[in-house]
Amino acid sequence: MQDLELKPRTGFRVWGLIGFCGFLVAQGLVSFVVEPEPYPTVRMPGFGSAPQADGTWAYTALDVRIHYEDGSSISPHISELLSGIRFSSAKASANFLLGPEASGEVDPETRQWLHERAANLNDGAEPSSVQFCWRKTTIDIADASVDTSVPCNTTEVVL
Amino acid sequence: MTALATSPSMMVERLAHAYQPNSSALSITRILFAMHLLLFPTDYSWVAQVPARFFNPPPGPFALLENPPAAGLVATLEVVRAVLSVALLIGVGTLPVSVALSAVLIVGAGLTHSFGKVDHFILYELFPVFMGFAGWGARFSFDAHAKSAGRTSGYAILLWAITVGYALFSAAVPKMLTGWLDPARQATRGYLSLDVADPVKQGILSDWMFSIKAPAFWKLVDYATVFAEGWLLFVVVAPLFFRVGVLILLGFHAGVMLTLGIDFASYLFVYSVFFFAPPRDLLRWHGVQSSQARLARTPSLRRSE
Repeated sequence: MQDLELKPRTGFRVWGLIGFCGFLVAQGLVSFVVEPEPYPTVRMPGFGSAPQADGTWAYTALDVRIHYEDGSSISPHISELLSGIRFSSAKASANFLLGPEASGEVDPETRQWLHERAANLNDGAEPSSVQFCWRKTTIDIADASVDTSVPCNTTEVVL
Repeated sequence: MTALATSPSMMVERLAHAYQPNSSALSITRILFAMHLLLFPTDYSWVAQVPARFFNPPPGPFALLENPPAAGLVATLEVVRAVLSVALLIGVGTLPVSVALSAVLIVGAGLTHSFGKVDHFILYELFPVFMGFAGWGARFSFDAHAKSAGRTSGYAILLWAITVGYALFSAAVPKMLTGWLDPARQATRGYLSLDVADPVKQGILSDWMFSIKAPAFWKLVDYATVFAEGWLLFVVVAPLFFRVGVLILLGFHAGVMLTLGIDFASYLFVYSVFFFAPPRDLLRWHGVQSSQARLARTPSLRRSE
């Protein structure tokens, strides 16, 4: 079945195409100028800067430590503690609310939510606090070793 | 003949013709896409279940929201998505349903992106509206049965090709500007090292890939990544090369999934529609050239000249 009969048309489709390309470029410029990244825009992930030529790469690591009333503690991944939030957003959400640049103020709803999650991660044990350790460190891309000698910038939430 | 053949209008028509999809294949894609939405729907419900203090929408229309939506509203959005998906599946009001479905997918994605991180599945979200105009309701639908379905449109697929090419180009440019092309810096290896150091979400080949130490290999991967993403936009005018580029991209996405654990399987829909031309047109390298012969064979065109 022939779906299309090729025939010359007016310039409408040419101008439509030009306008469409102009729109793509314009929204792309907005997308790259505005920080943080806006949505919705037509864009795919650029990831970010490449590591240094010496094979090290500066980044901010996040370690979580939950302390319990019985003296025990565990170190889950941030995506486990914030498991209600989508995996890809967990660290960003923690940074927004509990990061070094954030106020660190936690409202009762959030405290209760963290409390429930911390308890679930340790068979219902009563949690006392959770520490978020933000460390501006480097990773060696040859062996994935992380420099842990850099001191943490810690946010603590009493649960 | 020469002036007509080289006029922008005819060049657009010929490119549109080169991307003209087979109506049956495109309609089957509609059915599969609708089934994908029904069987593997993205979860929006968590948006209303996490503390509102985490809500941090990106710039744009979602920044107008001060708080996450109520659970009932999110549930309604999911129900609307399901209803539209069923309508799309059976092909009732396919064009307006497709437009509405893209709107719903963008709203849902916008809400899930309002927690500090924008994920990049915009092509999946825009797919229905473009395919609606491409005529994916042309077959196997109530619209077709009622004779209310239009023909398929190569022009819409051409615009979709430009959109896909542009989106990939937008991923290549930042890489080119931030050291990915520097021979001394190994970007892919760096990202893989982060996953190895923090192995909560890895691809099944992460450790094996990371065991490769040759700098030349890693630099080649960086160059290949930038090339695969960057050249597609420029070969939209050469459909064969564009299709080759899409095949390369599929390999690229598979590699990303196996090594970094980032799943772009849903983008199979996004890319599939470029392969629905008749086999003889699939292998023609140039849309303009491929249609020259057809132009010469078409009496109505000769008359119009």
